[in-house]
Amino acid sequence: MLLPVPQLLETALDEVSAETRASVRRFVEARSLLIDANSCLSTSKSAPDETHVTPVRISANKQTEYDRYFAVERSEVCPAETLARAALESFQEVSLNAATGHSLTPIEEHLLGTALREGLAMLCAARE
Amino acid sequence: MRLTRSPPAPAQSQPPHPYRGDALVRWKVVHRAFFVIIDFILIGLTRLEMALVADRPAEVRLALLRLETLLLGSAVALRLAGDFPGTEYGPKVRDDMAAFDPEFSGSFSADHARMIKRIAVLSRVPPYAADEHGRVLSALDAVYRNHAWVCESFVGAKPSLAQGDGTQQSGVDLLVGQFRRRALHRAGCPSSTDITVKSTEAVRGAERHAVLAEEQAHDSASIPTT
Repeated sequence: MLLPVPQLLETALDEVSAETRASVRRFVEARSLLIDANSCLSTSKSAPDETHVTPVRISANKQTEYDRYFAVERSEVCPAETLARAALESFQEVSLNAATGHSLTPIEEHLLGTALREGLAMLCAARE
Repeated sequence: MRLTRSPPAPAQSQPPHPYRGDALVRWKVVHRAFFVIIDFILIGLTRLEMALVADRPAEVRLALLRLETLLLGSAVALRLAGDFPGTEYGPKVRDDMAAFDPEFSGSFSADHARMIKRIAVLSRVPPYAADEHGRVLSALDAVYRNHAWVCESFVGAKPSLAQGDGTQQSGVDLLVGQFRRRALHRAGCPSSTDITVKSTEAVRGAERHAVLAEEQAHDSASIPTT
């Protein structure tokens, strides 16, 4: 999963692309519970363009290693687009994983789904 | 008539855990969702700061309520990350992290380190948004308690990897004690103002190491990467 360098999220954010924005809109409007969310997500791989992938040397070695453990790469460009795609990708993989069983209550499922939707809506509202 | 003693009731067996997948897969997949939410929180903190600087009360309140939602979502993400049979944590997850780095710690997350540093913005919330600020602090408290719940359900009173084996303090105590109090203090929790944030008097040996790891994460988070 490609995530932005966190410091970039404290600057003026780029505009999320129309394609990603459309995926986000479908996702936000679906309001489905976690394990049903796959039905509203595109099955196409939401990997960012190759040109967006920039190897980044985070100052602390431990941080780089931590990222590597969790299969996270970092991008120095287009933080909003990168994060929006990562969120959609993450929701999809969490939904698939949750489908194999979990013990969350409906309220907890709601809280998790709402947080992801709220974050995505915040990204897409940046320039609206 | 002589009453015969009833046979002891059979010990109530725990129902099998509903998760049928691989524990390590769940651990990593849901941690990635946690990182995404933490990044959303970073944006939310920046929006809050902008609203504070512009002195826009309605936007300040809205930003705080959004942060509450995001923090509660991150608390659930932590719980879901550890939502698998407890017997699988040691051999599947803890051993895997230890093999990767014997001092493995969530404090090494770049996103988390940045969030802990930036959370001080919350201490600047004016009195007019005290209610919303209180809700954010409760949500932040829930994040630490959920994290501790995950630790406790797997390792009980044992230390975390970062603390090492020589410590007397449990990972749970460190989380809901020092780390939670420090985060709440940074976020402007009025009841934590008497806490000496950097005091390590009660933290000895390996426990100090875990605290230092988190503080180093805070320090490294302030170093620009570009």
